[in-house]
Amino acid sequence: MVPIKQYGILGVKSRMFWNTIKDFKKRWFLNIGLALFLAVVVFGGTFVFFHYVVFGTLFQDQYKEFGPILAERLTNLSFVAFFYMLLFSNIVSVLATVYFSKETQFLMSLPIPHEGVFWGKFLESLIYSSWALVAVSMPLLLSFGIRKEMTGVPAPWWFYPVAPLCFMVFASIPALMGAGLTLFFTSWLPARRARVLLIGMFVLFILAAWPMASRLVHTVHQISPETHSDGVELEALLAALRGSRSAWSPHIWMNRALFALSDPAAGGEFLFWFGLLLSTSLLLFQVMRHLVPRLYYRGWSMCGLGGRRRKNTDWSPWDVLEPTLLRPFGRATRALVLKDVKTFWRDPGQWVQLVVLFGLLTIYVANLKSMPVGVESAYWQNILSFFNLGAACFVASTMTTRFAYPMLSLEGRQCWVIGLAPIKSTRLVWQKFWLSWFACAVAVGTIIGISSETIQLKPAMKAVCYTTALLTTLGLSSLAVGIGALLPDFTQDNPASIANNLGGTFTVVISMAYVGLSMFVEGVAVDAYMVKRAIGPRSFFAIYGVLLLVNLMVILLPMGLALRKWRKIEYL
Amino acid sequence: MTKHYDQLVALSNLNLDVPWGQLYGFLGPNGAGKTTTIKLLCGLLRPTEGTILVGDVDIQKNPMEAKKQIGYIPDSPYLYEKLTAWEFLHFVGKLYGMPKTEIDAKGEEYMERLGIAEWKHRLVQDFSHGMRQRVVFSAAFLHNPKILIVDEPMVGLDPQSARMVKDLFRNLARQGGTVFVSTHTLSLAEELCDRIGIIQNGSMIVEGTVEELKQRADMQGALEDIFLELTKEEKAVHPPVFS
Repeated sequence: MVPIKQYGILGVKSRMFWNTIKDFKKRWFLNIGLALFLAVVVFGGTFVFFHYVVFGTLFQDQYKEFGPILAERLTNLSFVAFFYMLLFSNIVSVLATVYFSKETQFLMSLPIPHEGVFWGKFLESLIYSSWALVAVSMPLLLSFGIRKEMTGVPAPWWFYPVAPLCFMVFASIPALMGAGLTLFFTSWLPARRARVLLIGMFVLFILAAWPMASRLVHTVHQISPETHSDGVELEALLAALRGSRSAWSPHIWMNRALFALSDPAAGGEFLFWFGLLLSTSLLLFQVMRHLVPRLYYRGWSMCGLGGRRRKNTDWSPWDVLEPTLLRPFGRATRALVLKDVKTFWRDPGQWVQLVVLFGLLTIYVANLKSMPVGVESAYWQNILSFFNLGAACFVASTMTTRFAYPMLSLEGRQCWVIGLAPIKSTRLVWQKFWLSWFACAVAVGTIIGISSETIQLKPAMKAVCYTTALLTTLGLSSLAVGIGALLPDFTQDNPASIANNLGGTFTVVISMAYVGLSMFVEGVAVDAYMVKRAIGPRSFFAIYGVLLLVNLMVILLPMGLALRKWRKIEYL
Repeated sequence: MTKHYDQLVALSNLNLDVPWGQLYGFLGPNGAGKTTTIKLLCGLLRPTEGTILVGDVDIQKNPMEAKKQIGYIPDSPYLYEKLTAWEFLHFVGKLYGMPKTEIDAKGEEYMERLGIAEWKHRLVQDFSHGMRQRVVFSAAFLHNPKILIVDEPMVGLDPQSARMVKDLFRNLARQGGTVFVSTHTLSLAEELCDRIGIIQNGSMIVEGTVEELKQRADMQGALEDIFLELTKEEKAVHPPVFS
């Protein structure tokens, strides 16, 4: 084994981390305060979601017969999702950090064994790609321990320190598998082509999961509140929620380990499941130890290969965009849009997860017609339309944070191009805003369109949905572009790193809160006025007026502040 | 002009007057304020005090008009990695409002002259430092700037490209334009520049032709010796360890 620490890579990394923290202290009120606020909101929000929304619903008295079984299935599905997300994010992250990074190039020039570089950079990639999922899993584990309905008794005290440790061992399995796959493919294919191949495999995998997801949505819709205790329907639901139950699946071991750990009567069962996780992780590590010296340098040295010469022509399909769709805009704006679209399209690692999210949402919406409940009733139409709108807007909020928020920061390194050009700096901010809005509006509009047609929404409700979508997408774009303009980071050139910084986390939290709050208030108001007739038109329009004001504030304030700052921007 | 970064005074009452038709060399030790000056001249930074006139246009009051006259070549050629060299040139040309036919013609011309025509449909991410620098040069000349501001022009260029670049600079000056070159390559400044300014700790310490600088330093020889003489700072005198 290569004694990593000996080569000082980790020491340097920890020093860099410490320096970042020290830099934080300089503006401690803003940075530390914001970080704490975000930690509390994210942790608290996730805890509330699992503890009260998910488990709280499952353990209601009316579901007590099958609540624990459903809980077991749902935690299993969560671990399935965690497993594949970790596998994919580790593949993308290992390629970027261990292969393409400029730092790797520098480290490879030093008298350090290649495997030392690999393990040092792999650890960095592991932390970078997994910390968010590990952080999100902690409230789930906490809620799992507190809820005594799982096993009939509260979890013992040792559950709380051991469960996170167990999860980390579980998380190391997809991480090592992701790194192993990358190592294998890059040893015989240039890394850029390996990336395309691995992403393609991931998309195929998701497409293969389409029938399963479709079946799940269909079955869930078969269960109506009135007939939930029907044994046949319950069995169908459990079958649909089954996920992979193979004894060879690490997520099953994790799930079993968690249940055994929370049950004091389970005796040594936990050790068995934990042993399976630990031994698999160690085995994978051992395999990697043998593969790295043989394959890593070979793969890394092919990194520069595989660049594709574009078609030897001055014309590209993208150029059709310019004279057609973008005709109303000025020449400079058209150039900026075209540049952003090309840059985005040519980096599939950035957008493939988003396509998957929207794909799953489309599966769900397209299956709405299988609902047995009377979708033509105003009650269900109201619930479904707002739920669909909310889901689409939540995905749009991840889209704006992931892509619109970093856009202005990304111009920083190329400031000599944009900053020098005879265009107003505010035009750049507007261009990012409208581009972000257009992309969101198309995505959300498509989902709303399919959903409205599937459940045959009445014209009045359609109008409400489209107006809300219009306002919310404007608001989300303003938040992302506005905060991105107010807190630019011109030192980074990786959009994922920019989106993961403090400002990015703040943007995603505030965007989700904005979407959640507006959907909730609007849904309740529409239900009270159009369905239950509990309030009159005056109250309804008063609530709508307030909502409209809030939306206008969210649209105008961040963009207003951003434009004010960018009128005086300096490209340091 | 004066420029402060919070408490740090990067430039202090710097007075520069660069005539048309000249190649002006801007020298100074690391941290002297050269890049800050260049970014101020290009309009990327705002002066804390003072005015910058590009021709007779105030770059703060009328940045659009001023920027049309400037071409800039940075020392680190950060480009859009996911664009091809050709797409990058088109992007820059459109920002300057050039019609497509003109971008095509000029782009072809400069890419050919700088030896990157056969690479024009490759993504920039596949380019070496020198190749990127050549793309930047092509982009800087694309809109026919009257003023060229260059930060370390020869870094990464092979001898043929370096010769080509020097010819381009001389050509521009002959046509009445101005080239403002910041460099640490003193032999280049000596060979190329009509006038030279040396900056230290944010202030101009000396300015003139190479001959004038020699007189000021009261010494003959290469510009390197004169530069070292003029920029040497009094070092603190430490007592000997043993005496």
